[in-house]
Amino acid sequence: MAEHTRGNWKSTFGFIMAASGSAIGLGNIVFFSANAYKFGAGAFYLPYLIALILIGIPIMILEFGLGHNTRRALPQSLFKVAGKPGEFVGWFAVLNASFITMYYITILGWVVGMWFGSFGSLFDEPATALPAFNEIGELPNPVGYFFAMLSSWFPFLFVIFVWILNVIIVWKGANSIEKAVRFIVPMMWVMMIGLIIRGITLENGTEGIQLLFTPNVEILTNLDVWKGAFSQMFFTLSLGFGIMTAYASYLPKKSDQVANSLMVSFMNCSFEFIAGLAIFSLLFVFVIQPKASTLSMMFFIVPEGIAQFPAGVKMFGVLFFTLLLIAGLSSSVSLVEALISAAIDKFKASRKTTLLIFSFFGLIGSLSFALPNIIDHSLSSNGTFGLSFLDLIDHWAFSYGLPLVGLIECILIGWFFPVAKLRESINKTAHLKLSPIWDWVIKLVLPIVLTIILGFGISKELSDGIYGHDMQTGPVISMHLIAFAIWIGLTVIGGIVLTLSPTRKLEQTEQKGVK
Amino acid sequence: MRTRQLLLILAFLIASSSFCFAGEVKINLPKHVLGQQEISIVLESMDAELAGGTITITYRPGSKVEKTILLAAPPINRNRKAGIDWIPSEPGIARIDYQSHLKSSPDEVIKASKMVGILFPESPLSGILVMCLAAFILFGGCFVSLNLLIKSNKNRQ
Repeated sequence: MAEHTRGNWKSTFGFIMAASGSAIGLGNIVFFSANAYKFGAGAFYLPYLIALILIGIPIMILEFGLGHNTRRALPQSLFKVAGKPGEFVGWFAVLNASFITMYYITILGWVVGMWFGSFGSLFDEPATALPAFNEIGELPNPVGYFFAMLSSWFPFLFVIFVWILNVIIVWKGANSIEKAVRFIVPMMWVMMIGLIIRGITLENGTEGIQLLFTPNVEILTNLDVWKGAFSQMFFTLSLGFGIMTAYASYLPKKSDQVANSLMVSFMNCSFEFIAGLAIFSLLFVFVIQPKASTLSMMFFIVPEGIAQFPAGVKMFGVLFFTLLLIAGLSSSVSLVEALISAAIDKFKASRKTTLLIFSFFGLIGSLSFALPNIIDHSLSSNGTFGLSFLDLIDHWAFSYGLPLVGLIECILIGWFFPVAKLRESINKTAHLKLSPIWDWVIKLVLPIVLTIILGFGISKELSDGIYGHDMQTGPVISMHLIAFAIWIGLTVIGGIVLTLSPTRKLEQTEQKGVK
Repeated sequence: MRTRQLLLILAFLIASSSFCFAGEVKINLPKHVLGQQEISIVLESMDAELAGGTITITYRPGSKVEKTILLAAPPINRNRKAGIDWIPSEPGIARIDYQSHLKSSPDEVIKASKMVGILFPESPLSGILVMCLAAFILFGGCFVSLNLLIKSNKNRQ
């Protein structure tokens, strides 16, 4: 029985470190800056801050409140709220997050590869030859280095290494995660501050900061900017993954969910704020145009800037990739934990067995995203099978899976469960009480916003063609449709199978008690 | 994560290098120039007689606030330079694209690109205000929530 007992965070500090470590990931370091540049720099802060108040914090409170009240991971939490349909949504969210976990760890594997490269030829002047891409010949570094690595089998080793790190950190659940994040998260802040100092002490570095904050207000009439800010907020706070519900389920009974949600949300956005300072100063000093893609920012744009440093290129290269690795690791462990805690809650299986089984299948999935087979010799799309597959799955899991989960979560709790009851329960231990406005934000505002975000995506899909239809995939015919079928098949069919699987007896007794 | 168009970055990398040679022309301009002050974009022909062409300046390329202006470039003789006056109106990053063709062969298009950083003529008050406001809300939010957490921890104990 002891195997099934839920762990607890040892301290609020540990929980805050874990939850903020989960929220602060690769996207915070580079994607925010790319979005800020794209959407009019300083003017982007207005929709961004409104999105934080309007959707970020309310959903964070909802997910924390849900986990804390039910003391279960997302599927079982939603079962308590809306029965089997609720549980299905929970499993859909968890399986969708499994796809994200798998390719996220592949990306971390590439980060490890680039980290090693920082000691070697990653920043060197001569271009890297790319015999695998015979229509390209060679490319300047770090792009050349990245594609040479991608077209080799080395990333398999790095991916295995990152999975091992994840298993070690998640091995003892909240206890071992807490130990790791107490070290990792403060280190992330210190490293980021190091990069800011380097950035602003370069000639014209402070001009980059002026560029980041000076608003171009005419852009605020553009609906794309608002959509960009609201999507950014949803993704940056790790909402819709089931992570926050799982993490909050380990909190002591009397903990304050409003304060916790505020702390994690503000910490996450403050980190983005300072990351923007570092990245913008770097981009402006070396006159580099940011791109709204996390991967190109991480692997090409920022390293391109670091390569032009007057001194300490390798040192700052290592620092940057270490920062990415630890930020990514604190997020990936939370993803793994969200998944295995859901399985433990449902099947009352041993944590270690569940973790090992999940990691085995997760590793196979991650390796499929690292497959180096060249399917696009001209590099007009993504080059390798692995990167193309990652691109396609990412599109469905990230752009549709997460907002869909958020939308249904709000509808279920807002309309099929007395949301006021959840608010009252949260307020019992909260210093700052939630007002009934929160109920209407969950019931009405969030569903409208999330429907608009999803609607935008679907209408684009219908007008431009299904994502990936124009991608060069060589011998793999209709890869975009295959990827979609894999994603929808595994999340929906897997969700149905898991929902219909019998829940352990002990759980059923508990449910009666709650109802 | 959005990896699509990852590879378009290659084109960008070529465009963003300090001096880009494409055919026979080179754009000479400092990496950073001061906004609102006239400067001269110097085109240098390398072993080619170039017909008159165009210079397209794209302010904040790739963003939703991207703006372009078009300037006329004069013909350039072999191994000679030509200057075009320009007042950088928008601070930030800008891309300069030159396009012309060989006098001897009008079908042969000659292109060159260069990225340039345009400095703010003076510290923008609106930028400072946005920075202070965002920092106040975000770090202030951290401070307030930390206070709340401390209070509720005390209550719990």
